[in-house]
Amino acid sequence: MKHWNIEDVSTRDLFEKTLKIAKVGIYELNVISKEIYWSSVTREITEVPNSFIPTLENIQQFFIEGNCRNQVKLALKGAQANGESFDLDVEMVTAKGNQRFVRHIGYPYFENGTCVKVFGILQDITERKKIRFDLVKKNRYLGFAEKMAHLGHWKINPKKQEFTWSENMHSITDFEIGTPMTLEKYLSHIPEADRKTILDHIDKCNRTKIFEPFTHRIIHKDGSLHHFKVLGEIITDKNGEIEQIIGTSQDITEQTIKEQELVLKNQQLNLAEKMAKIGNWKWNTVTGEIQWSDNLHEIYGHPKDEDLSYEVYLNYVHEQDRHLVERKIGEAVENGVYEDLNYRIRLKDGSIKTIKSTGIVKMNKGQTIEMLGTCQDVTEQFNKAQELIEKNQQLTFAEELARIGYWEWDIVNDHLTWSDNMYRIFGMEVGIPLGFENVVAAIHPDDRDMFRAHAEEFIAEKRFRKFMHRIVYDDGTVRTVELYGEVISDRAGNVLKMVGITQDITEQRMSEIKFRGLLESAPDAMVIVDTKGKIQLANKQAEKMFGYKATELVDQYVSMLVPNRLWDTMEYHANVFFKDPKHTGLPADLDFYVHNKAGFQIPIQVTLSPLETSEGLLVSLAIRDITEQKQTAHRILETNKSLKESANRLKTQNRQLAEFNHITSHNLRSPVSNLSSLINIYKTEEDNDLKEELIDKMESVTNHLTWTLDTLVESLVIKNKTNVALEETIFESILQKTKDMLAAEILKTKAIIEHDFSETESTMYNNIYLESIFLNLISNSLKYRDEKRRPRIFVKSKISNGRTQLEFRDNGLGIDLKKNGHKLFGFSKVFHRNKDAKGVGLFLTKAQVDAMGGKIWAESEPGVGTSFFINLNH
Amino acid sequence: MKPINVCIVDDDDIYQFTMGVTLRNIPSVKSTNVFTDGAQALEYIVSNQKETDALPDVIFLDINMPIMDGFQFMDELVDVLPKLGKPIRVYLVSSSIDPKDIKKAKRNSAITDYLVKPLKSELIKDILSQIK
Repeated sequence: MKHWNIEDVSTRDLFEKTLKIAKVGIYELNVISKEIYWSSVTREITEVPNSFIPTLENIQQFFIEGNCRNQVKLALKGAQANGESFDLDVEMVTAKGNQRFVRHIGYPYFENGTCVKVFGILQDITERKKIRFDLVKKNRYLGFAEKMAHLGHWKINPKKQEFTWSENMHSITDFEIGTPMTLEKYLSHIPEADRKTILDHIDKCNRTKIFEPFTHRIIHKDGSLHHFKVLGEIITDKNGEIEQIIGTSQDITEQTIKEQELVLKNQQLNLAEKMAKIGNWKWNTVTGEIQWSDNLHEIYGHPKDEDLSYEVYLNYVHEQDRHLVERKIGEAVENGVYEDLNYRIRLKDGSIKTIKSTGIVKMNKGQTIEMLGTCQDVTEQFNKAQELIEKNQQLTFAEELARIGYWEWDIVNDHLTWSDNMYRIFGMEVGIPLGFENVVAAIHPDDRDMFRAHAEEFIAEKRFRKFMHRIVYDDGTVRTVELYGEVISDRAGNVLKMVGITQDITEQRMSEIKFRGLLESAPDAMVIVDTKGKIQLANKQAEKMFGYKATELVDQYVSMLVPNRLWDTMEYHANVFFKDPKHTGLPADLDFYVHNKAGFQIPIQVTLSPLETSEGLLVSLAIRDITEQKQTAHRILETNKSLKESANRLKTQNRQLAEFNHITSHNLRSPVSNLSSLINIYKTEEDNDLKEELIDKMESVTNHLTWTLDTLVESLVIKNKTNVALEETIFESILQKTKDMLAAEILKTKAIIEHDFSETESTMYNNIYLESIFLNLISNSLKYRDEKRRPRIFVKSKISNGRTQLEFRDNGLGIDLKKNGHKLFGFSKVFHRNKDAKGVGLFLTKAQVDAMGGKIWAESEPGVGTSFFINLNH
Repeated sequence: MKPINVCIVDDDDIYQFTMGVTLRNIPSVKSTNVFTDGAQALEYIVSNQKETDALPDVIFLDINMPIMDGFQFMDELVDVLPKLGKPIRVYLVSSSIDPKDIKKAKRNSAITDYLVKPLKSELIKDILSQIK
């Protein structure tokens, strides 16, 4: 291997000049003196000032700490110790902090078996690396492998026809390393079409002594065609003759292809980016340099030739999002973590786009040095999503409701999106940008605090409740609106926005006010409940009746107004009503009550009416206080009762009258008619004996008539006698007295009279009446005794149903009560063929019992005996 | 003129006496039977139901009597009448002008008429003359 003599200044100068084109810097380390020589290109690559004196120590800093620095150290060591040349790709940081990729080639130089120098080149391959990096990056998507371009160095001495080729020159031209090169040999590898180009170029060089860069092609052994770019410098001697030509050939085939590919892929990528509306960005946080991909320029509408800086970028960000973006980027720089970020940008033409930004942060020594990432224009997605929400909401809500507006409040950015109608509802110009406070300003001053409170509450509870507020137009018109909506949160539960609709319900409100007026003017207490029994409305009369304010009643269950004992009744009637809702009055005799706040129960009458509303079926309850009617009804009942009593008394009197009528028509008329018949016969009769008999008969009839009248008078006295004297009458003494009076009869009939007054010995009664009752009944028993057996009479007193009762039981003839029961106590009714029977005893006895408010009845069986029962009093 | 059997059912002895005197003076009256209650009269009729000549042609029946009153008697007589060899006219006689009694009498088709005491001899003659 032939080494270049770098001692040769001219060669070195030329070399440096040449290599400058390829950004190749030279260095030389004197192993003995530790002196280091850096060419100007080397200094350019490392960005050190001319005054910088490289030493073994201070050059270390340019190699990035770690692997890279160690690799360089090892390579230098190896070169000195073993004579190994090296070729490294290293990452360097320039004095100005710029990052560079550098190819570092080194050769040891030995003298007398000792390494005295290490020299080599530094080539700035950042651009290439970058291309490669881009490719690698792009190959992640597109699958292309990176290949490197190669350089070869050569020197030609035309006089000697001597070709000096570097090792790399051999490899890129596909000649065996070490093969001596001749023009002919070289040309044999050149395609015929290009041979002339080369010969022409040589000819031109000979004539002009100027080497112009040119390209040609060369054929490799495998037949592949390679493009070469050739740079050169002609060195002439004192005579102006060409002494040497030095130059660099570069196989630019791959580069060309790659560049072509890159252009293609870039175009594809750009297209893809364009389609996805994605742009790439890179921001060197140390230098502040910002690079944007074409598409990003397009997204932001920022011309490529215009300056780009963080400030320029920030200026594009929507003023309302700017603070957020600054904060987030600040955090990214500080924490090294770039959080995905959504924000809006305002383009120069005023249009607004929504951007989704992602990125990564590169750090060195804990310091952020670079950030890169993508920005995606998600305006359309955002708009589409928004449109979708809008459409959905509109479909859901708008169909039923008129006069509605749709709104969306981006809470994070305090941005409001309103439908056109929403602006109209607010009496605002359609499209003006809005934030929360703009809305508040349009709201009725009295409703503003409530509106804010609602918004805060909804965000806190993540739940929207419908509510109402008023709006005041510029001309002072007040409108009432109602809001329905929904709170939207992200997966983490952060509230992002609210969407909803606003309905202008001024007219409904007006009808509600009218309805209320109607309700208030109703004469009855009106309570309107929903199907669950919750009170929705109550009028003044209801307030008055129940003693609650309407506000205390609303939203309470109507059952609070009903006593517990009537809940079942209420539920039953409610169920009946809901089965077939129609105007229904509850039954008038239902006897229903409500209780007011004071717990006082009020009798009421209720009428139910269905009310169809947009919010479903409501029931209006008309409630009438019927306390007065109840009282009237009670009075009527009382009157009725006393009327009934009067009627009963009249009936009794009527019966007595009828009885008396009966007595007069029978018992008074018959003696009179007898008298009349006797007188008629007397008038026509001539027989004196018969006339005598007639006179006797007339006397008898007259006596009977007198007796009848006396008896009637007596009975009338008994019946009409009020305030009959009451005294304690002892049954046993009365019975004794009766026995004394009937002593002869008892003796004659051998009757046995027994008694049992053990249950009650006495009662408060009229003594004379009771004596008469005893006498009548016992004498009857003796009179109508059965001759076949010895008379037995049993008298017993007892208490029955709280009344004093007497029983007179005998074993006499008995009466067929089926036939004669109805006239048992009639006047002058006799039931036996007994001469003494006058039919007066029981008649008078009944009159006496009746007069004392008692009752008399009999049980009897012919041939067995009779029992009389007397309830002495009520 | 056909001889007539008259039957009086009444517990009033004065009435019995006056009726007896009146009937004695009527030539067509063949016999007069007097009973003081319905039971006795019914017993007589039932026991003589085959003896057509002994049966009454006309009965003057009182309402108010012991043992069996006029209406009770009629209830029993209705069952007996079809078995008899001749028709019997029954006149309900009472001093009562109680419309209830009159109504009750008129409802009973076996009763020919309701007569109110005192009975004038002309009325009795007229009634008897209608019997053929």
